[in-house]
Amino acid sequence: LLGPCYQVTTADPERRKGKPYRLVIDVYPPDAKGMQVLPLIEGVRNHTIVLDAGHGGSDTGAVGPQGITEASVTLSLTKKLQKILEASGAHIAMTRTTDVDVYGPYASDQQELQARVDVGSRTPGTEVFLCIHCNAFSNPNARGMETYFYPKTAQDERLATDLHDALIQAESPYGIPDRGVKEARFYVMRHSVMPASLVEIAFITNPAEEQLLNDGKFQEDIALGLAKGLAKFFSGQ
Amino acid sequence: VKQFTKFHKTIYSVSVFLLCFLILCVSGCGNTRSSLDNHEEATSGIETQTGTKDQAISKTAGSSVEIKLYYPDADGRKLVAEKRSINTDQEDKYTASMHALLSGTRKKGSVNVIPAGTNLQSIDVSNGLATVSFSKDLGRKTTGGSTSEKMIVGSIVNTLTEFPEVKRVRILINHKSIDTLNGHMDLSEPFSRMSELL
Repeated sequence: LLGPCYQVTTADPERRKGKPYRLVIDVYPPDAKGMQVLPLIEGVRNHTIVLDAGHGGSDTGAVGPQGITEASVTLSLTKKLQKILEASGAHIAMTRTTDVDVYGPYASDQQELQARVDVGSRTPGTEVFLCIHCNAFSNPNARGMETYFYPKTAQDERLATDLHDALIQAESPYGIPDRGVKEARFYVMRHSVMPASLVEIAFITNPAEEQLLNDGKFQEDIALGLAKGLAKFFSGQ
Repeated sequence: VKQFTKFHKTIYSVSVFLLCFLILCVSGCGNTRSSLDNHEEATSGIETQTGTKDQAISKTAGSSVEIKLYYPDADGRKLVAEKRSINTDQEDKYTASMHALLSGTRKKGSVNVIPAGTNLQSIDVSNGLATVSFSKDLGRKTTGGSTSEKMIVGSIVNTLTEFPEVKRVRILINHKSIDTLNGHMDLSEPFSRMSELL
């Protein structure tokens, strides 16, 4: 499962040695020390995916009892997924890569959500639009993960099912209950042209799940699970 | 001087009387639309029985109506029906059912999901479409999350579609159309009964 690891850097010119500006590509053997070894997923190479980290900027999304924000968790997890998918040869477009509003601060909800949808329609060849969210409920005892679709194409439900099956595999070791695949009229899923799905990883309003959501290892396991779910979806096309 | 003050007194009392009359008129007019600015006004009982528009009022005056309210279960997976008697002396049955919903659950195992402090602003039913407006508290972001959002929308839609003449429900905030409550659901169009939550 270990892929080749490489690092791309730039080097300043060294005039005395007669060397100009350089682009340096270091290739490491898989077991090299100090290198983060990214798992390689088969079946996503050359596929184009838009990853949408929910909320951000002026909109924190839901907030957990310890103050962890949905926007920070979704960004961190989505960037981990981006790395895995890019290392595996997929083409990735991100709706955001920092803690910002996609449209702009304090835009209307419609402008903000449409700006995310637009990333999908403006990225040539986008096959899948994947939104990553944390759930929230007024009762802190509510727990579990769920996956949403809006049946606008013949593929939306299958995408949600493949992602959900992979999430069950990734989350059951953590004891997170399965709440199922569900249909809902969510703005981004409804307005994007390509198959889309929204995953609710866990409840940020539940104290135990909030801690997990903020944990780097948990985020990596979920990112790997989602990458496998995408590979399964592409294999069925 | 005495005559002068007497004269002033008369003018004073006449103007007070006119003012009272004016206030009564204005409040009476406001209520014919069953449009309410907040809870208190709805329950303070200044409504005059001018509202013949909402069929139920005159027919059921003095009586109570049994309705079903919907609140989420503790886990946020389903909506659970809760029977409640509403009094339709002071308000029409739609307004009364929304006020009852906002007053919170009394059933063990059910929880409240509509943010505290949310006020009903107006409700109007015509041609099978209920148009209901709430204060902006309904979309308070801190409690966000798609399950909250779905249950808020579902409890309103399913409570109103319990009335057989109500087929669809449009939710407004401050009397204006909205795109979403918390950034997930598309609220730009009316909802039919959300049976998937039952």
